Amino acid sequence: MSQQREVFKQSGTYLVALWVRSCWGMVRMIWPALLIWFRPSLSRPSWVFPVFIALLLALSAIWAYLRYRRFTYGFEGNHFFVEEGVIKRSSLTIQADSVQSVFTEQSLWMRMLKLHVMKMDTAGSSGQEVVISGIDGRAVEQIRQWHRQWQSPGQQPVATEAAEAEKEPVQAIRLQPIDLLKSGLIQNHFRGIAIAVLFVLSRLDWMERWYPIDLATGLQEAEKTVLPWYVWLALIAAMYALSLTVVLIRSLFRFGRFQVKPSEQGLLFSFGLLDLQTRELKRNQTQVIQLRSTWLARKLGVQKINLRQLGEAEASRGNTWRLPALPNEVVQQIVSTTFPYGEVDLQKPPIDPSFWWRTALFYYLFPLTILACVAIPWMSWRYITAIWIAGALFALLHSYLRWRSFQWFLGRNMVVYRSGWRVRRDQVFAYPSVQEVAWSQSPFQRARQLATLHITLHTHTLIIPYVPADWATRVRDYLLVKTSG
Amino acid sequence: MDLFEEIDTQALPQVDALQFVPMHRDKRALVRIHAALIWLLITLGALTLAAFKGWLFNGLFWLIAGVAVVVGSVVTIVYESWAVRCEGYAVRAADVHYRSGIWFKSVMSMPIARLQHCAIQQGPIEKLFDLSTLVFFSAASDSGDIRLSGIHIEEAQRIQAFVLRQIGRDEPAT
Repeated sequence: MSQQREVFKQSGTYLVALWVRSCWGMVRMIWPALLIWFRPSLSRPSWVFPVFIALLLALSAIWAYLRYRRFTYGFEGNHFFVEEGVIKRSSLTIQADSVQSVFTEQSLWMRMLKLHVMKMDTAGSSGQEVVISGIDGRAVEQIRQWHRQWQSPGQQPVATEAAEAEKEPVQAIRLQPIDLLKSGLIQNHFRGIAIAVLFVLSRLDWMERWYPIDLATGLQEAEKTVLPWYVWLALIAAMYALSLTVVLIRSLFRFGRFQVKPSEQGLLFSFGLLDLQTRELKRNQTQVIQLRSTWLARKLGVQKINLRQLGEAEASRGNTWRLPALPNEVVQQIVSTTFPYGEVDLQKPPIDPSFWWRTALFYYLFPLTILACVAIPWMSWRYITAIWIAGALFALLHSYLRWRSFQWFLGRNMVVYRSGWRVRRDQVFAYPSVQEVAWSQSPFQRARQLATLHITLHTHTLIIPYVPADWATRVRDYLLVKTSG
Repeated sequence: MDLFEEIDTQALPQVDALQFVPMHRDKRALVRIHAALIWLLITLGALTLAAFKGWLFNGLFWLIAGVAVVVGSVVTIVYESWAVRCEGYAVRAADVHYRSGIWFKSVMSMPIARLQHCAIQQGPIEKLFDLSTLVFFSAASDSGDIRLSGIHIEEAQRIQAFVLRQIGRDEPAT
């Protein structure tokens, strides 16, 4: 059956951008030769430079025009095609079924020209197979409509009761400056390290009481020049302020003008201060959600959210969409729209108490003891004992709190898994996201009839440690049945 | 149906116990050859080092190197042969399982519905014994998630054909 072929071209305005790009591309290609030809010591006639510039502009204009002329895209029924190339011609055709998502980007330069870069994500590739630069907003909407018209019923959003309940008109959400500030505050990863380093440096004189040598100069009995405590405090404050400023500026550029608004298929995100990006999250198409919150984030009422949508770059691991730390109400709205997830009653999985003391013993106390033994020739006993006791207390407390933090919910359509006491991670996934299930048992676990369950998703592996072996086998079989179904 | 209804994990039925098929008996010979080749390479490396350092006529060097190579190769060969005994696989209508480990036991299970493609690999030594490695790929990994190494080539082809039929592809993925 022959379908009507609709062919489109990029916007005429894009010729300007293409010209500039071609010109820049040529300069980049021949810059070493340019450096030699135009070096000040070389005498040359005065007309050479203007002629060279004119030639460069003319050639790049011809090249840009040829590229523009040869680039076409369009539809033929449910097929989308792109034909391009001046010397080497290439043609790409993809079916609407295999297009998973359509999203646009707009750099500062493109915003000035009122143009967009449109990208299509297809299943089976880790990147975007289709990239169309220099099309206007109307053309973007035309492609989106074609995608909606031809996508397979399986890709159409599933109308569930939860989704119906969410159909009330939702207002567009914009992040306020205070939200960006909160987002920046919890993203400030350097803060802890910087403070720790500065604290250690500030206390060198105090540590040296137990040291045979002066750490600052490496000389015994050297005259020490120790800065007063308030100078160190000021330095710590300055480093904190600097790292916070860097993170805030980065957040502002990446997520400035952040906006979420409802669309026909779910939620439409747009963000970026200079380079504007838009992306659509389809209703009930999310397979994995990861929510992360630290103590500070919980106090500030924000949390980080990572999402992976159905069919998105199937063949690649770790391909999740990371959003900034958002206010809890925004996160709830995103989650409830894109995933059939509600408030569930989390239960404690039957993780054996031996998990926490064995973790403390093998992961922390053994390495700490070995390090302490190694340090004996260089450190005083008092110092080693103090570090060892502090480390042991921390290891025991950390392992115990980690053991206490595990919670989960096994539902008919999804699994919720919570772990971590300092950084709380809530992971929600639908059964189709499960790729493998592994069941493992160490000699110790075998003696106590325990096992560890590893659930491998598209994005990462969840580990449920030290559960009864029989329980692990039943859950594994249930997951396999649900995944196969 | 209540989406948020919780499943009672204690009441979950257990699927029939898995009947694992052991690896082909020739795999033991294969791993012994592999181990011997690795130790041969280590020996050649040690000899090259000795030639450069001038230890070739040093009796102590020959004693230490000889004992290390003999003990190392015997331990490796015995360990690898033992590990092969603990390996096994099970292919059911909807999933594939692979068991391994002497002290640290593990069973990896992959639903066939999640399979992206499966490939048969055969190295020169495997070719000598008509053995092959059947690799199952899911979307979670690029390098293969379950590797059934040391199964007969015909058995591998049968499993591959079955698995591809199950996921609705008659031809092996390229």
